[in-house]
Amino acid sequence: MATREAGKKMIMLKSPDGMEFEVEEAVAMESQTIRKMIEDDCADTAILIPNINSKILSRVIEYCNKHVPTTGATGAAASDTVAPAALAEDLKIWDAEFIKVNRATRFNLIQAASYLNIKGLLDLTSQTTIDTISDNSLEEIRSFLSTKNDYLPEEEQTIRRENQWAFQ
Amino acid sequence: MPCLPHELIAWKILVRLPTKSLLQLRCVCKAWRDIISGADPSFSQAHLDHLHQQVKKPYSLLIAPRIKSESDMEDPRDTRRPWADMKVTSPGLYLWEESQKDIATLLFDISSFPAEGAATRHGLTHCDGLVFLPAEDTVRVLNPATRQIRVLPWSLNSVAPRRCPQGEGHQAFGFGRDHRSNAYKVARFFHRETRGMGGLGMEVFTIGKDQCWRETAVQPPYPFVAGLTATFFKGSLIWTIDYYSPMYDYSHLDDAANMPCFVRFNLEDESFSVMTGPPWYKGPTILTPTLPR
Repeated sequence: MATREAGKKMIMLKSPDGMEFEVEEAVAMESQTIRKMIEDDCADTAILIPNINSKILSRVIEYCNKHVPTTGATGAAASDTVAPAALAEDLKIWDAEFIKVNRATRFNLIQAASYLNIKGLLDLTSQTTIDTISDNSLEEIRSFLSTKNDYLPEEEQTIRRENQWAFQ
Repeated sequence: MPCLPHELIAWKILVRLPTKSLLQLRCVCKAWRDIISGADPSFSQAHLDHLHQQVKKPYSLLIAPRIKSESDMEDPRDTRRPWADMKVTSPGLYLWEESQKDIATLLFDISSFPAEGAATRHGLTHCDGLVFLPAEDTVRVLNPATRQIRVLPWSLNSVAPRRCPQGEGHQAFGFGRDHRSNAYKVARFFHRETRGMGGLGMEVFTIGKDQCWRETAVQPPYPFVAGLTATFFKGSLIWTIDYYSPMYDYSHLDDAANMPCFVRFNLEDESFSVMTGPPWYKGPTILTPTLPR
């Protein structure tokens, strides 16, 4: 959880299950949705984040804390000692650990990233789903995404024949 | 059972997948088939935007409708009519990568298309990766990524009027995207049987919407150079005015500075506007609009 530092504006985020999270404005503004609310002056007090429970919201904040660009006094000091490439590599390793979650959590994170419009988090969470789709059979994809096959067998064959080359 | 809403699957996941995977995934369920098959044109637009962001290696699509055959090689210095002497050996769309200079992979065979014989050869063009292949009597739009080809309906206006000299051509095509509706439109300029006022026409075919060609409410203000396919730029098609056409009104000839050179056809509201030539322009020679794509 972010600690209050002198000169840093804090924002209160509330989840629908009643938890409150105090975060730096810069961290909250990693979300384009929250950024817009702040810029439109809709964020005087606490911002209620609908549909995202405290467990997921805390993980989203964890992501934003890690990914907020390090600018200002402390940031300049950090980039003096660490090369940008090493910093990016460190973030990559951190991301890989961060995304080691079960399927339900990952789907919740995709929904949260989409609602809050956090591009990096959406790229990260959806890429794992894209990898699953790319590597598995149609039946496995259906079961993974809980999608029901509503084709008759002959209908599916017709669709398959229409683009036979794509299956080769 | 954890699941993702269909909207998120479509707009955040599917939109990032390559075309070949999407074609396979049409088999998953009907909702996926509909979104992938273009029930909502903004899905293909979003998919295209993602492709533009992802593509790292520069590759080009090489279109080779005519390839010089052995018998034409007798005198390589003979460059009088470079097009006329060429024979088709294996016309098709080839994928060429910069890293492999001499190798091109055949993507799409178009050997069944009549590339020879027509007196007027229409220029090919492309928009968002779709290739437009116009010929005198048949107009085709090809999507090399899905290997789909669409043959547009025949139009009475593809028949040359008797007053047009044989072989000179009476039509010019254009192909582009209407930025408001995201629909792809094909436009055909043509000469009618009648001379004088009302002798020129324009018809449009909106892909995915129209069943047949429909004439525009307003007629083209000038005759265009036949066979010279329009340049698509910023939502408009730009054609070159044909000064040598008997349909051209010569009253502008005295005033080179204000000489109309190109006609711009706005695909959104289907209106025409006239563009004058460049400052150095002195008279009726044919200019071609070349613009970045």
